[in-house]
Amino acid sequence: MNMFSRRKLIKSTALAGIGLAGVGERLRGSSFSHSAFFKDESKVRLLVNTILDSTISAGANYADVRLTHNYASRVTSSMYKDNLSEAMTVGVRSLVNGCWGFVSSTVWDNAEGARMGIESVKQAKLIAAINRRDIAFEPIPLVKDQTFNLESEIAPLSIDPEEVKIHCDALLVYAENYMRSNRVMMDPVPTGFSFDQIRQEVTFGSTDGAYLTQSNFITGGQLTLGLNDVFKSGRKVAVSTDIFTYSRTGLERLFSPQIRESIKQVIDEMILDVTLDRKPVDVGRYTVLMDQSSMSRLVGQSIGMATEHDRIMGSEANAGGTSYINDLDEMLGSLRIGNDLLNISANRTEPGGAATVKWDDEGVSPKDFTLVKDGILTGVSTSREWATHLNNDKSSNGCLSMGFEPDSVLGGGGAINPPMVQVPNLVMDGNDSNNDFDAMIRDIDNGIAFKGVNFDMDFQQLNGLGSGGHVYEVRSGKIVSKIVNAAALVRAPELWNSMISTGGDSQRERIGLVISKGEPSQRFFHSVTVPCVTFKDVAIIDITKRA
Amino acid sequence: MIQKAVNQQTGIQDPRLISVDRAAQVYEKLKNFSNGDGEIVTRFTATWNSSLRWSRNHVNMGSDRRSLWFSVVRTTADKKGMGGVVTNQLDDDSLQGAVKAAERRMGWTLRREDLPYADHVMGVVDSKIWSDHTFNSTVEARGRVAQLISEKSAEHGMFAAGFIEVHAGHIVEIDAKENISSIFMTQSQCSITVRNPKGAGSGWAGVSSYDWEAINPDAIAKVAFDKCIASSSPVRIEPGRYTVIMEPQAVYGCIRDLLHSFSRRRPEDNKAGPFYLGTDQALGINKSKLGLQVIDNRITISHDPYDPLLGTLNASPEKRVWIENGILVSLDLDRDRVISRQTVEGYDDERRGFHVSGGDTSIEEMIASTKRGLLMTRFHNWNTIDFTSLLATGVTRDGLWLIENGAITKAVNNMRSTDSPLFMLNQVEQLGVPVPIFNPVHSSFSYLTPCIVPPIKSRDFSFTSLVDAV
Repeated sequence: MNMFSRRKLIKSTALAGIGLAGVGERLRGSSFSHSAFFKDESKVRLLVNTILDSTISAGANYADVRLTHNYASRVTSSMYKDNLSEAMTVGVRSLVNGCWGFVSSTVWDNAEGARMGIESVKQAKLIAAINRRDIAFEPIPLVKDQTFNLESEIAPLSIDPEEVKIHCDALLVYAENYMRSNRVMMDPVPTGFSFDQIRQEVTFGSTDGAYLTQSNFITGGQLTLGLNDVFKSGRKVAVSTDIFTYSRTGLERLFSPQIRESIKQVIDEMILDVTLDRKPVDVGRYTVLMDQSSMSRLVGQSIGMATEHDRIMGSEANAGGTSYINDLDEMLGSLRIGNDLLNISANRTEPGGAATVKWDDEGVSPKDFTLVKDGILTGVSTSREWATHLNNDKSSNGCLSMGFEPDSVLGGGGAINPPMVQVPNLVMDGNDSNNDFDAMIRDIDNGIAFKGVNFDMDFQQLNGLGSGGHVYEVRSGKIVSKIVNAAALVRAPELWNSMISTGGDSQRERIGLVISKGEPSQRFFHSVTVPCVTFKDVAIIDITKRA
Repeated sequence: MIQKAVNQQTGIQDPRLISVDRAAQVYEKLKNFSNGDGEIVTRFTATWNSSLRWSRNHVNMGSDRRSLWFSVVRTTADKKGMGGVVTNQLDDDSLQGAVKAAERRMGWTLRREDLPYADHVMGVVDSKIWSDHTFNSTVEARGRVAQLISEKSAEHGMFAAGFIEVHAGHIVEIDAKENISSIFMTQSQCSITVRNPKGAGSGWAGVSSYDWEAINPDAIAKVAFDKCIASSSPVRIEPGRYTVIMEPQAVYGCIRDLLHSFSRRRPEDNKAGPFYLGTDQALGINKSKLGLQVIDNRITISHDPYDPLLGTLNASPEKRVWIENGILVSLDLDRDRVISRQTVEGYDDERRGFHVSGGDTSIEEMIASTKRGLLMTRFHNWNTIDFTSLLATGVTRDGLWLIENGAITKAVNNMRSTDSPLFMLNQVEQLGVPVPIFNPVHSSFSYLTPCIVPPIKSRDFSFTSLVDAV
């Protein structure tokens, strides 16, 4: 932590225990753009209608428009990487003979809107002259003149981001003090944080007659703690925690007492970690217990990304890749992905889920649905366009989204880039016990435990490598040593069919993840709620060993 | 205001990109809205992208996207503090709001007195980063490309997917002294994947360049199509160490983290990175490998801002050479060291390209001289595990073939590889002619980083496990 932050921290320490009561007006942050559109809803509606009218006049079969207003902040341990940004964008999609034209801009203006509408149809017609695609949208319940505002106790960006930064600095001081009280030191590198707040207001209109406005937000980031057991073993350990995991919750998450308990818990585990002997990898197949953090990455990629309908249909073939699910006609309802313990549902409705919305970005109310039941593939994440390729239910389950720009400015993205199917929130069933990680360790006679391991699946989400994080040897129900350079080689169907047991539903954790997808590349947020899971016969290798 | 035209296209007046005049008008308003003393600095980034995307032999979408961002940075009167925001609204109310927000943030960030605000003087005059061909290319022309490729693939029962994008940008910086720097840039990219509908084969090819005319979509399509056919029905072979012939895209994937390791700070401050040698206990300093042979002596890695294939936004007009004939000859200085040494030479500017020298051996010649080995197209997700040795792991993609007795005999399943670019570049047998690789701008905020890389034949490259993804 730099000295500048420490001076500010000392000034505000008195505030830490009482939240933000007493903070003056000066610190009430607010959006700094004062577009006339914000004061007069009729201007927004006129703009939407102007754009849609121009698409109809130009010959679109269907068109929709999104106006977004993003306001975003990032605070970090380094003052030079902090960011405050605001952006307004508008994007128009027009459909002609099954082909899309998409035009976007940062200018909210009727003349510009008319230009965009006409240009989007021109683009679509040029594409339609090349080929024709058969797209027949299923009718959807029209959302007409409705508004939704996501509420929270402390709305993101309702307080000055600098106060958020001070509070995050205070959490690091708390962590450092707790370490010292346990006679270990904080390792300044890699300790640090970044915390994002993104507010987004979207107005959507379509030539079907839909018109809606929804305000949403997302908060989260990264908190990494480093510990140096300088007085005893001399070992260091760093944990990239999930404490700041992304979710659609407000700033109350940052100020709740639970966060300090979470920090203490992480530090307690780190202290245990540095007391353990280090052992090299003994390559072989093992019973492996994976914690919720490891499971979230595994589920997110090998199930979540693999079941994106547009990916299955090949739309990402030139980018992120395809899927091992490659023939829905044959596989939907019959492909065995895992054993009976594998049950995964999907939604965009759970409160606080990183993918949760009231309506998706083509005006569809999201439906909860099942992706995998008793190990069998039963559903895919789809949109109105891609659902037309399904045999039975051709209705969208509300998974179309605009993404965020991959670099730099947080407020970027929104309507600038064309929307696409995204992974929704995923929920994996556990059982009705209260079994958590420690309880499941006790059931392992000879095996391995994973904490915070990251999985990197291949371009069909089929074969993967689990590495990083912390890997432990388990004997007779206890963690006995830490294994260095261990990694797991997995193949999705074999792995999911080797599940032995899951943890309790009550012990599931929700982790927010970010996925990049598309051309141009966009970032999408979603949550994965998972229990711990024990697998058998997982191949464990030494990741540093060459052939 | 003093205007400095960094490249020659100052005459461009196009609604797709903000003009210098408009940026200057906005700056005047920002100044007028400022309260108190101190400075105001702003930087505008306007971009235009037009793209075409297709999959399964059908063009899905044509798009045209215009984006504008600008930063507003205010400094305190004593020049000790600074605060900034980023926005994209040009109406007076929003400009005033942005200035107020920046002023509210003044004092929360220490301004580094010894440095000018502008991180970098922009650009190099006459650096080749603008092409009228790119800026004026049409949707119809791009559509014809997609149509021809898709029709050919469909005729042969294959699926084609691809992405063509042209991108133009205009950056205008107005500093505290009201000097204006303006630079225009373009980039285009074309990448195509052809796949067997049963998932039994896949081929890919791609090129990016500032100049659309330098891209030959027909040639790219042919390569992707031929590779798909040639990679059909792959067989399994035993993982192990193989002589590998890496096409340029695979070489770039493998050495990318090496190219971004040329910072002096890592060995000298952090005892980290591939060029850390050790600590001199007597002198109490950390030593780097400067002056030592680090890779094959036939390889030089450099950047020449005047090379028409390596145009970037880099400030320095000087040619940089990091590795010369395999010897590490220079590392980049970060801002602190640049200031303390009062030099911009060797400044660590990430906005640069790389030229990796090669030889004149063709890939066909490399194959013909290989008793047993593998030919590969590219990597997927090559991730560094250890940043000292640069040991990394990744999966091959879109074509892996077995070479036996001087000829390709069969397509093989993709494999996971675990190896280091340092090892690979120390086991070089043959080098080919360097060519531009596919490394496009990924978003409105990315910089050009062109790379010229040769195909390389290297022995004992490690493939650790089979992967059955195609």
